[in-house]
Amino acid sequence: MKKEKITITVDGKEVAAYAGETILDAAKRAGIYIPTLCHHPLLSNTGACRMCVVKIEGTGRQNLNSSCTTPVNDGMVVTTESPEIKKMRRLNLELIFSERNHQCPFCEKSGNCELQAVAYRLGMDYVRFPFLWPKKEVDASHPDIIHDANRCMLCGRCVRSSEEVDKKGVFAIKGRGIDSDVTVNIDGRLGDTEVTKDDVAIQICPTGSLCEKGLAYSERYGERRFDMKPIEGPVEPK
Amino acid sequence: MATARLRVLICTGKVCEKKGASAVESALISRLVQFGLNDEIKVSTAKDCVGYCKQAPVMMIYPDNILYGKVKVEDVEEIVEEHFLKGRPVKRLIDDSLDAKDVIDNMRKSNFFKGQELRIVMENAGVINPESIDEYIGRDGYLALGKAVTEMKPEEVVDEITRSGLRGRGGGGFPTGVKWGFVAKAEGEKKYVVCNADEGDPGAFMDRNILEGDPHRIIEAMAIAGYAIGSDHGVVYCRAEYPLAIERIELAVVQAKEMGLLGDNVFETDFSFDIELRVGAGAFVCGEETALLRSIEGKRGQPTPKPPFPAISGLWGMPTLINNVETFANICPIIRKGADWFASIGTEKSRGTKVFALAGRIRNTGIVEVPMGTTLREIIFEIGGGIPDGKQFKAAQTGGPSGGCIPREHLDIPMEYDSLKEIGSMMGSGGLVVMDEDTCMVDVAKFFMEFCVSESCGKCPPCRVGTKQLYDIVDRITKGEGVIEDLEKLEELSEMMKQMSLCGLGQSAPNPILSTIRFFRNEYEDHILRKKCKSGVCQALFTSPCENACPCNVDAAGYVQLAAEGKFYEALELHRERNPLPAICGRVCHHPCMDKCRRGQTDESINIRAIKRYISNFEKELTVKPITPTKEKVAIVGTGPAGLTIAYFLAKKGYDVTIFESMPYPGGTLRFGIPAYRLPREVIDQEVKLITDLGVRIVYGVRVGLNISLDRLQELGYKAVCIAIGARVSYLLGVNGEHLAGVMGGMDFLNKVNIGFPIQVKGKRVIVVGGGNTAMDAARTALRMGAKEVRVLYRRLKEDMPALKEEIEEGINEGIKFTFLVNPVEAIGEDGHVVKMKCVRMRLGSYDDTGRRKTSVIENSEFVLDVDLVIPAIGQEPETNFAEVEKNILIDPKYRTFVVDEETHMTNIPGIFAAGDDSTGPAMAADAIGDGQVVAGAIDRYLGGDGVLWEKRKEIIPTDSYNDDNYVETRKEFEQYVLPIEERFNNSTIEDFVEVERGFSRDQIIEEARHCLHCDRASLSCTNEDI
Ligand code: FES
Repeated sequence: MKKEKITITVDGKEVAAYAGETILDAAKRAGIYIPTLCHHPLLSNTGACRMCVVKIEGTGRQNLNSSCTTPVNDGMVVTTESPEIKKMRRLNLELIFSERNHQCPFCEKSGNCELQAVAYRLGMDYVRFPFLWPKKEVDASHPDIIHDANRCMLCGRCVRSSEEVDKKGVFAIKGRGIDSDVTVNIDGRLGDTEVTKDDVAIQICPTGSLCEKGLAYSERYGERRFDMKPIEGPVEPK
Repeated sequence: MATARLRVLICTGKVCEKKGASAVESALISRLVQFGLNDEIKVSTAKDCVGYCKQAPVMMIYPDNILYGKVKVEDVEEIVEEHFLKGRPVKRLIDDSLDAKDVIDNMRKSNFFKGQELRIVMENAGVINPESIDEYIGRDGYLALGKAVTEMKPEEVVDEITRSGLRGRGGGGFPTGVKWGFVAKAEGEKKYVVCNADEGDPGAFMDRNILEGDPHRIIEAMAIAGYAIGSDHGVVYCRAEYPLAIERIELAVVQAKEMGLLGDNVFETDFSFDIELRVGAGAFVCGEETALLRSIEGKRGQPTPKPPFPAISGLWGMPTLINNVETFANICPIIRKGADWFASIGTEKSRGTKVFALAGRIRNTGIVEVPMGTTLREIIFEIGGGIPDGKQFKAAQTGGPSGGCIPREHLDIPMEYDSLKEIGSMMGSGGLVVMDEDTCMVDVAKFFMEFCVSESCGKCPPCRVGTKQLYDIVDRITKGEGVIEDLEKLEELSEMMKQMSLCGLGQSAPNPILSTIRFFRNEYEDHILRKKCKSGVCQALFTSPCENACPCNVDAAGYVQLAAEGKFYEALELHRERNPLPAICGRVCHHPCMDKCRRGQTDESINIRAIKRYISNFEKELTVKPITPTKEKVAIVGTGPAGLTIAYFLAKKGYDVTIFESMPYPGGTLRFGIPAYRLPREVIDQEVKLITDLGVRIVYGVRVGLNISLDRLQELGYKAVCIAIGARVSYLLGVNGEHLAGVMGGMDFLNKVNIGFPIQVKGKRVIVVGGGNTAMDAARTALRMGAKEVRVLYRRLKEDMPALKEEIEEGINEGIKFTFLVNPVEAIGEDGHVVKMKCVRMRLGSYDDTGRRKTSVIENSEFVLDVDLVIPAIGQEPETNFAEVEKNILIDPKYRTFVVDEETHMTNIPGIFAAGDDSTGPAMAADAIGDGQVVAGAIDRYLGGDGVLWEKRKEIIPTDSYNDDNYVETRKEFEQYVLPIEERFNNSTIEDFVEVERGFSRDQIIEEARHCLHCDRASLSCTNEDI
């Protein structure tokens, strides 16, 4: 099918887009940054993290839509950023940070972490909610990988990469609500799976939940990836 | 929050009772218990004859509208098994001499049915056997499908539904026809029709009722939808908790196929349609359409973002039409009777009817179907029969955990999509939970949040973490650990969840919080700022329900226990820690503590007031040491309950307190408003003495504003001045002739009598207008003064009278005559003196916000009463003019009370406070004492103190002298000696009115106190552990 070209308006700018692509993709091409966390270009989109929400004008609905899942329509008018939207995205980050142990100074992903980088870029520097800090297992059974559920934000990237790219289908989400968790082969250990450190699932974890062993604190403060430049989009696998 | 599927009403009127109604009732109840049906089927009895005596005993089944006559105990088994379990009414018990229609019509004359004459969705409910397709067909079943597939084009069907104005009954209210149109136009190699029967709101069971009572209706409607949108495949997604519904749908599908009404070539046309049934695991989120579709596909039941909408890409990526059960239940009648008929019902934007499940604190729980736009007031008070146990309506929650609450002020809201949305609630699937005064709205918000936390699927952070954080904040507030900033945080987070959550569950989860904050912010503030749960629900905030209910926070559980041990001095001291007027309160308090006493739920409330009165007898032997003032000078104006309380607490804190009293004696309203037969004067004097003994000075005969100005008081060095002069100006009737001689306001009359002003009452005919305590006091006083006849006129009924029940009863015993449902309209005079009172009769109309019925005048019902003295006692207001004139102190223009700051309790002039009736408006003595405490604390803080007046008791008071187990089951008569009527009237002067209630003996009091259930111990022992 040939891609039909249409025009949409993003933050007052006319932007060319292909029918059927997402608002996020169209915006990115036009050089407009929309924060994302669960989205990754290699994967399908689920709209889970809600970071990328935008306002679609003229729908009469008051809620915001996730730009990573909403396809563009001809003539669509989108606002990707306003003080209101920014405030809500920050609040969303506060919730994510309050849920589990996201204490950056004590995390080996610090400086290379997407969650941290997005928080910096959005100016979320303070969490007003009590930390819930449930006690979660750390799975170090794998020779090359650490799986620390305390740092998970349940974006589901590992689940999708393992299924869609690595074709191993090792990860899944179990439980419901605040008790949801990423599980390995239904309550198994990572060491017992065929996962390797080169799996996309491991490489694109946006937090310190899945880390390659041996790399901890190997870069100096100031030289880490997001020390040098604010985040632009999802990290790429090696 | 259990609600019943069926209600059985057994008449226990005289005739039915004689013919064994009670035996039938108990047989039925034990059968239901045996079958485990006692929760879903509620049995009640009607004491008033229902009017079918020749069929006695009669039993009525709602909402099925079935009346059984001549029911015998032996019939009960068949009724339960055939009707209640299998849905087949027992025909032989339906007397055919009564036309069925007649019976139902007669039943509908009862209010429960009057409001819901029109039934669309439930037209067959209870009328047909749901397992018989023939009976369904007999009631025009499958006519609509036949008409659609043989006479109409698919577009015409869509058009008909669109024109009918039907909107989705599942929640949001999207126009059904428009949705059908979308799916009809969408492209896909296959299309699906899905029926959402995953009803999950707590307290809602409308869909179940329809599926179980009339399954073919849904099947027929789905087939019509399939024809309209071009689909040959339907799926019913039903929750596993409804096994009977599942069974009946399955059976109905088989039956319909056998008759060629489903399957290939329906009605011998080219249209084919098949239906399969899927059973859901019962997660609330699966009611969300995208999650429901994922669940049918066998995936994790999690929602996916919209767009794409199911109409474009739904089940297996194909265009899918999803409607809920009630929506489908409307389809066949629309096709049969036409869009115009349907559109003529309801309101402009919400057509047709809506089914509600009434639950909670309401007399008639159950399923009702009413036209859209029926007001909440009609549903609750007329159809639902109002609130049981004489409690007050507080709020109704619609839309379950996704909805919001509707407070009293909005009882007239029409129940339709848009009005509900505007008020921050929603229609939802039709759950309607009624809450009364004993419901804490913060606790309600917590309850719903708890539900949302456990039902959130966990996919997106706003809902997964947001619900949890909201819950935690509200939970802290109910424990007294909240801070005022929490309210803002709750609102901010709620707003964000509404906008950012992925699906409807998260978007609507904050509604209960937002709407309770919007309408009951004061309750949140009570919990946060004052650490008080007025409804007595949040256990962590009080030690016992009685203490919590007491306007003066007296530790009732504490002194009752001390009394049970015979430690009366200690009990008295514990009382006086918070309230220095136990002897007065022991006689005149309106005892809200007793209304909340948990013992009252099993037999009778503990007579706390009687115990208080008894322990106050020991005051006579009490001596108090004077406290040398070390702090500022404070002036109080008035020696009523508020003034005395403030003086007491401030003196104890070391202030130099002087009270200015305009009369020669202390007591204020206690002395000049309450007659001596209720409150002997020496009781007042004795308690005032204990206060002056502390060092408080009372200056008599000085009227502030007349003999001395407020300015002058401040010049004299009084750093704080508090006005507590009570409310003594009687309201006027507002009728012609009320300025005639012989017309005198109630408070005015009592004041004059109690001062000793000569008023001639002897031999006169007296009319008192009003139903409150002042009216009763005036009436009984007039009787004691030798009136020939005393008649009380009240515009409502006896049960609506605000006066204390015991006062009304004693008044009746003493011979006061009452005329209810009348209102005076003119006082007619001769030579300037009243001689006649012209009155009109009133009728009761619709219900007001307090659940009492409004009255209106009956035309041409005037009548005239001969009278010599008219005493209107319809309310009073404070006399605050002097302060307004002298210092421009702000006065409420309507109630004439002082306008005081909520936090500091100060008027607009620094250092000048107001308390009791002068700031709250006329209230009870205990309320004035309670307000006195608040103001005493405020004055202390104003003058640099901490405002703390007492410490909370931390220890349990042990039971040493008896075994409390012996008092759990049994209850002895507890009657006090009251003065015989003959002896009440041989007084010579006003001061000699003999006290009517004479109290109890020591043994009686100890016995009574030992029945206390010790509600305080639970909370005390847990705080002890915490420490
Ligand atoms: S929802 Fe779009 S990036 Fe997560």
